[in-house]
Amino acid sequence: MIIKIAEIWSMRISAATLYNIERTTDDNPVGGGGAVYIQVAGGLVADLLQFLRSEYPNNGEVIELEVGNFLSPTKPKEMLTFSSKSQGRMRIANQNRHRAIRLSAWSPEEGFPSLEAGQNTEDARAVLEQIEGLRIFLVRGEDGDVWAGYTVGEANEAQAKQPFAAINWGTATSGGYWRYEEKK
Amino acid sequence: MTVTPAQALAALADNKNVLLYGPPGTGKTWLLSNIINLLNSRPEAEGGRPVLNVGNPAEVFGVAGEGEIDLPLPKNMTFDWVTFHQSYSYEEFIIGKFPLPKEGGVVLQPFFGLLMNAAINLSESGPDAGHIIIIDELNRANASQVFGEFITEQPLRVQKTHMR
Repeated sequence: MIIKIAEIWSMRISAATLYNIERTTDDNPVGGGGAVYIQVAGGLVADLLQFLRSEYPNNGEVIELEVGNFLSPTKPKEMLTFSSKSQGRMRIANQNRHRAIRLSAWSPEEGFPSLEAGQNTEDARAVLEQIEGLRIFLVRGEDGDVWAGYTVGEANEAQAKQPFAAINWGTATSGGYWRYEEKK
Repeated sequence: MTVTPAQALAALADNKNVLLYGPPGTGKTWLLSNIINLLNSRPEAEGGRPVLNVGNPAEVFGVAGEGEIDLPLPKNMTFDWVTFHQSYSYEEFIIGKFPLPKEGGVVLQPFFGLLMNAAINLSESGPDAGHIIIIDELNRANASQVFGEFITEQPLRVQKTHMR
């Protein structure tokens, strides 16, 4: 199935985030349960809100987005939940696969990088260095449907020609937003 | 039936060979010329409309042109067009020897034919490469004389499309 891309939002996954969404139920920091979400840094929030076509959510409010799995399009659509976080950041909620139902497109079953039980942020950093970067993306097709997926490593020759290559592969940027515009 | 160039090319996704057959004057050669036009008009990777190939882990992101047709073909396609005739031979299609002037005389120099040449070029190309040999007037040549052992070596699995 070929989807003409209307918009894409992409974000590089940090070692801390990979650890947060991978650590097991008995691996808790002192004084709390620990984060189980994917944190969206303040610098990417405006791009994310543009993709979500939404205002920054008030505390306690959520933005929901129905997405498909980019590798398994026959799977039922799933719901992503976005909410605010301190200092103007945002979070993609409930993405620790041991404590919540991670989006299937970002699951190890679809090849998404994972950590062994007991591994820590440094291990996550080593994994990300080895694969030369990990990014999650949301694509809105021309028909309005949204697909979630991820990329690993640097762009190959063909990928490097994509107009959104800089935000969707490698480690040079933290991510961003791209929208297709008709050539005049 | 009416066959479009895209349908003929799409059949290559499941078959190495596609045979178009029908009475004279039904547009087989015309269709072949349109297939060439379609192959020539495929959008370049750079500057085309980005697409998401959902369900295709080998190439999640791709490029399509406006009004493009989804062709199940490698990105770097090359093609040859040949018209068979009564004198077309194994030497021209597979491998043969041709005379070359040398030192006031003539030597027989081996040459790869169309099929071997394409196969060798492909073997030296990347995974994004492909090659189509378009044969017009297939029945005008002596098939065993042209294909030789490739009739049995090459799995000639054919999708037949009748034109009328």
